[in-house]
Amino acid sequence: MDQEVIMEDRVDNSKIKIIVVDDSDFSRTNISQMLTDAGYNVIAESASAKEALDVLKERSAHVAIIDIVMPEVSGIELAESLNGIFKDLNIIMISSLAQENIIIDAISAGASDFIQKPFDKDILLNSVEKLTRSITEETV
Amino acid sequence: MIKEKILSRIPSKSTIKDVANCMESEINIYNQAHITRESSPILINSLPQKSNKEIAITFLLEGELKGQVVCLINLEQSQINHQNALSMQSLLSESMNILLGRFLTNLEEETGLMSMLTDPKIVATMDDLPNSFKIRKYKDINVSTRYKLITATDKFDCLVIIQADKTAVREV
Repeated sequence: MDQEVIMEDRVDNSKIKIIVVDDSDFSRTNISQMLTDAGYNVIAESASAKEALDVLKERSAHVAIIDIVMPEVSGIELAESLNGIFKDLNIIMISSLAQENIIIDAISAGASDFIQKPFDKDILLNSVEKLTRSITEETV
Repeated sequence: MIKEKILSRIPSKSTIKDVANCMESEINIYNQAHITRESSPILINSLPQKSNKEIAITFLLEGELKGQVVCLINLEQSQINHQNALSMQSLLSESMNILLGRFLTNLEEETGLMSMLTDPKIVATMDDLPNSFKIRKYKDINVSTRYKLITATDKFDCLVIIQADKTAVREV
């Protein structure tokens, strides 16, 4: 019952700000497309951890979708940094590698969810919806 | 963190069977591309000689399986041109990344071997492959598997070559 009340108050998808971080241009584009098709506000696509940090210093986001295997700074390291700086940021980690150790590392680094690549649009959207359920007009 | 040798857990036989069981037969990649396995893995002695019509996408394997993967992709029948080259390269390298990530995930479930994949590097021709890829010999896994990668406009023949050794040290 409580959950239904929260859902009714949840803001429109267009007010949910999302950053997509993946060194693959192909994946970034597809993930962003899935999110924008669902009405979400993709504020940036970043190809590296550094790019993502630079964006998030300037603009806030509710959700960061981060690939794990990236050159120089990995997604796990980026999640650790973001978790220390932006307490309200929800992190979804994505990777084609989904061994138990990697999922544990992702969750330990501060991720709220892990999704193995490639994924269906519904899996991604369900995860984003679940993590942003409590965002209302007052908290957006 | 304690490091200890666990020799008994390293499988010594059925390597090719393990690889065959773990290589995905079909993957749909965001409805933009489709990978289908065309052959079972076969043993190879060395990297094959190929034409300059192919690009190689290379990865390093790190962890309990240490080695390299070379994905040879034949561009002869493709519509790749200057306009779409970058996006097609990205599609090809991410498709191979996904295929191999799935393989390593399945391998860990099947055999317990935990291994990571580095980010992909694209090499224009076999001649441009770093010498380390060509010279290094591996004793445990030397297999190749044929795949077909199909996009809305193209069909690519892919040869995925995995060469690796099992390492005996793991963190406990």
